[in-house]
Amino acid sequence: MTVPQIVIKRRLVILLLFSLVLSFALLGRVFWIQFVQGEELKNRALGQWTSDVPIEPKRGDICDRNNNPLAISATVDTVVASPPDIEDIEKTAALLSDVLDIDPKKLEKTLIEAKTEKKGAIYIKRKITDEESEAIRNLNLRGIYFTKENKRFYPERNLCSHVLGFTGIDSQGLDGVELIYEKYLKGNPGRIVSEKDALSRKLPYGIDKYVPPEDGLNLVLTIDKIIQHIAERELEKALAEHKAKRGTIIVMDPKSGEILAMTNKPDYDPNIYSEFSQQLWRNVAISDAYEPGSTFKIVTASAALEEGVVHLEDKFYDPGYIMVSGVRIGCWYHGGHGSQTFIQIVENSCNPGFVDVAMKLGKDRFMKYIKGFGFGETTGIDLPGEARGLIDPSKVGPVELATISFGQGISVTPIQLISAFATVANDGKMVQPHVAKAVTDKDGKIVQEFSFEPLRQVISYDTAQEMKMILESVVTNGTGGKGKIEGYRVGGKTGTAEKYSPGKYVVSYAGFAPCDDPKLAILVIIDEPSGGLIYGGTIAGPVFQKVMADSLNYLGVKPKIPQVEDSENVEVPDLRNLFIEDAKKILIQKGLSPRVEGEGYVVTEQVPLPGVEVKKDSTVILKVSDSRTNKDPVTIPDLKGRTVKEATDIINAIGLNIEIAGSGYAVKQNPLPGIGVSLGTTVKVEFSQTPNM
Amino acid sequence: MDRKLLKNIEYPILIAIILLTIISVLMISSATHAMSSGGSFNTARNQLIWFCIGLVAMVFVISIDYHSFANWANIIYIVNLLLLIFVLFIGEEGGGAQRWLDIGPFRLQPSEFAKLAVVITLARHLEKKKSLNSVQDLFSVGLHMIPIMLLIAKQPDLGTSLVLLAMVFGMLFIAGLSYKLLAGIITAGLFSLPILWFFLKPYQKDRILVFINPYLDPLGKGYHVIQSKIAIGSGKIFGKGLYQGTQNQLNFLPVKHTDFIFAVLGEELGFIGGIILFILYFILLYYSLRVAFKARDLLGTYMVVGVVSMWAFQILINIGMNMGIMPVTGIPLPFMSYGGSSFLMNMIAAGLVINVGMRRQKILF
Repeated sequence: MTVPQIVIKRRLVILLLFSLVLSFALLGRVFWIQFVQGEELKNRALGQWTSDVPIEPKRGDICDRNNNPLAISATVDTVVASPPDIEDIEKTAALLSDVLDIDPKKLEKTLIEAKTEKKGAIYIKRKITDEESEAIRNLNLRGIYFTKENKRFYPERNLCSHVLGFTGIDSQGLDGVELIYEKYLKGNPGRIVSEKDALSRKLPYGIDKYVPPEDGLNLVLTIDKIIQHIAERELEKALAEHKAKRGTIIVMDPKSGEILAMTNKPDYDPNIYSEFSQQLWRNVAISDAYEPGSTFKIVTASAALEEGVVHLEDKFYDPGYIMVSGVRIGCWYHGGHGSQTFIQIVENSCNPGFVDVAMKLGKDRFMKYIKGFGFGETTGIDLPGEARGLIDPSKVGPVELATISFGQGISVTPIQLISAFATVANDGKMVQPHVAKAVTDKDGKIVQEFSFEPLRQVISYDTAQEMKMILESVVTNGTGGKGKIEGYRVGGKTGTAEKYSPGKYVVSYAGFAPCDDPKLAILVIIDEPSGGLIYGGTIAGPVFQKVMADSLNYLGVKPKIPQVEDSENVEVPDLRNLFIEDAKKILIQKGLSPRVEGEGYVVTEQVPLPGVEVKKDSTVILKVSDSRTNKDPVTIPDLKGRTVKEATDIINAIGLNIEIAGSGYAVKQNPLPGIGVSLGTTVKVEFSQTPNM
Repeated sequence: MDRKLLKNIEYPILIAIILLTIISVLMISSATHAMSSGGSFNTARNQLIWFCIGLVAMVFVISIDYHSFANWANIIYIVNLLLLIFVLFIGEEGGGAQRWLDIGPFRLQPSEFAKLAVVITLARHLEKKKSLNSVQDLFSVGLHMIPIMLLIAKQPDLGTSLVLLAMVFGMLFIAGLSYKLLAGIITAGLFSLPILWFFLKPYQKDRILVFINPYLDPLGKGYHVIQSKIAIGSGKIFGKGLYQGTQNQLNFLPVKHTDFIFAVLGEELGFIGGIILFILYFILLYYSLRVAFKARDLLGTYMVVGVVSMWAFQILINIGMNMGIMPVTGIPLPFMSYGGSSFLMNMIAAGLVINVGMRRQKILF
């Protein structure tokens, strides 16, 4: 045959190239399997021959900053079956189901299926009680084994539940720090290697290699158990007293960003979390945005001072409302605050004043500070499910700008708000709020410490000092009076926001102390309190005051201001259900000035509430009405000198009955004034034409 | 004469084969370690014995001028046919097919030797042909091959039939088969695939279906491929180390010392081991093709190309099958898979290549 040499040679080269290309294709495939699919295939390989039960590591403990345990792990037994080793499936299933209280038919079916599928091991029941374990051990069944698993216990039950979170059946973190710090807490499982061959038989010469599990590391939180407890106690008390829907308290160290306490009530017990509604698992403090109301005014005020558009002593005039683009925005205080300085605007929490300030500031500059204080973005706290709040600059027109200036038409999370207050307290430097302090090993040695640099300077040092001064004066002279603590310099601000359903409010109080060297920043939010006079100051203020006072005391922060002389301070008496004239008399005697609101004879509400210490000459607002009150018990009013008609009206108004003797002016009465009686009690009154002096 | 001829031996081919054999023996010893508890090296030792026998056979083949084999082509052709007919009637059954002949202590697989026979007889046949430009030219080639291929397909041994087909293609291609005809054959082949489907045995159909989706039947027919992929994939870059492959040692891998030896290598020696194997095969094929290039005459070129096509195709199919990109067919990996007949045949084939290479210069005496 005559084939030209050149053809043959060319074709040989083609053949060589062809096999070269195929070789590279094959090599590429090897690469793909080993590197791209490698990890997955390796795990699948591992899964095949270690199909016996892995040894669960001990999950790390979680404790508070003083090493008080908040979440611990204890080992309990789990029953597992090795189907190929079971001799009599029916009998085994019957005996087991008897002890463990499970359906024998179902168990038998599961075991048979597992055997046909050549499964190495299956769970019968996980995390059983010691009694169950003992009973099964006594049965001595072939192919039934035990493995130790960890069960999570939360010794303090509900305490701090929203920060801690909880773990699932596989000890995997599902919420809270249990979820966020899973990688430290979980550890690495150990296993016994070489147990099974392809037919799931135990190998006769099996090299029983024991790989011990690596226990998880412990997590130390910034939470202080005592302060957490104080916060939870006070919040629960307040919710009960005001029949409120729910509430939140956050206590933060404004200098480091460490969260010392964070609670939302109602909450849940993480030991039995599944028995609670999922709604209660929510960490409202970081996950729910709300309208902050007047507490947001610190942002407006800080921005205005920083930008120099106002100065502390600038004069403003509040006629009780302000017009913005044809919309009338009223002040909470009927009739307006009149002429006032900028400080007084904040003290009085005067809305038109703030609108004025925001207008001077303008949208862009205002937005810059809203962003600067971290609103509209997550704070980055180390807890799952943080919300960003709602502020959309593109939708902000003049009216929105006006309402945002006093905290309406914007939604923020509690953690954002307390961070803003902490920023002011920390001389304008914003810090990162966080709940984890360190990771330690089982000997308590620190493996990793979480430290956070300050995030940014939001306002200057000088502006921060001015703001602190203003907020302190809000507490001493203004609407924030409820937050006052004897001996400490406290800065704070109240907030009240009406919710979309009318008559429902969110009230709050945020502040810090001591002003010259802030140790704590605290935010108290009470959602939907019921009752008459709803203002942040009157409801959330006392809670703030109590938590702050107790915490400072616990932390050993010494009062700096010398105790004010008693003569200058007066405790507000309980005037509720009193006849208005009596109430006025009492106030004047005490050196306080009454201001009456409404019409009628009987005091139904008062501001401040009884028991609060105020400065001499402070005003006490008395709300009066004609309607019968249903307060119980009723304090008997002093009727001396009243006409028969007057006395009858008064007694009826407060829900009592009157028995009249004589005519003219009242001279004698039984029971005597000031005595508490129950509703419907009859009061005997003697009248005489000549007053008995 | 001897000295001159010895100078022309393509030593890289020999070295590649020796290195491949060493790896093969190691891998087989690892693959069979778990099979007999206590650990027996019988199978690995057998492979070594086959290597020695193969070496003797190779020396024997080398010492005879390849032209003499060509002169015996007719006898070789007839013996080949007879062996294949024998195996149909008196062959031993194994794995659902009749493939083996009992000869003394050994079992021989005539289909392996059919490959060798075809290398010689077809090379001779093509050498005599004038041209390969028309369908008529191809007719005689078909006549030559069809009886052999049918007999092997009847066993059934689909794998070897395919190897033969690849060899025929390779040799025809080098012999100057016009591209027009080549294209025609390929098109005809593609169109006849659906028809071929009806002639496949059910298990062969299953293999192809499972090849398309191994997870159709992960514990049954897809098991081979899945386990093999898991083994290779879990080896990663350096492998788990010799005798450390879990998939292999715990017998998750099927027929691992024969058809799935590459998976054992992939698991235990990793990507590095794979690359070394590829390099060795490349040396083998490259130097063989060099021999074809330099051969004294067309007969030598055809013979070598037949051998190279056979090896290349077997490597491609076997490794591809190990990685799940080719259907499972019982095609062994040259010089790696355990199996006496196949190893012996490959050694003789290598002997033929060296033979042609040695006698590339015109004889001057």
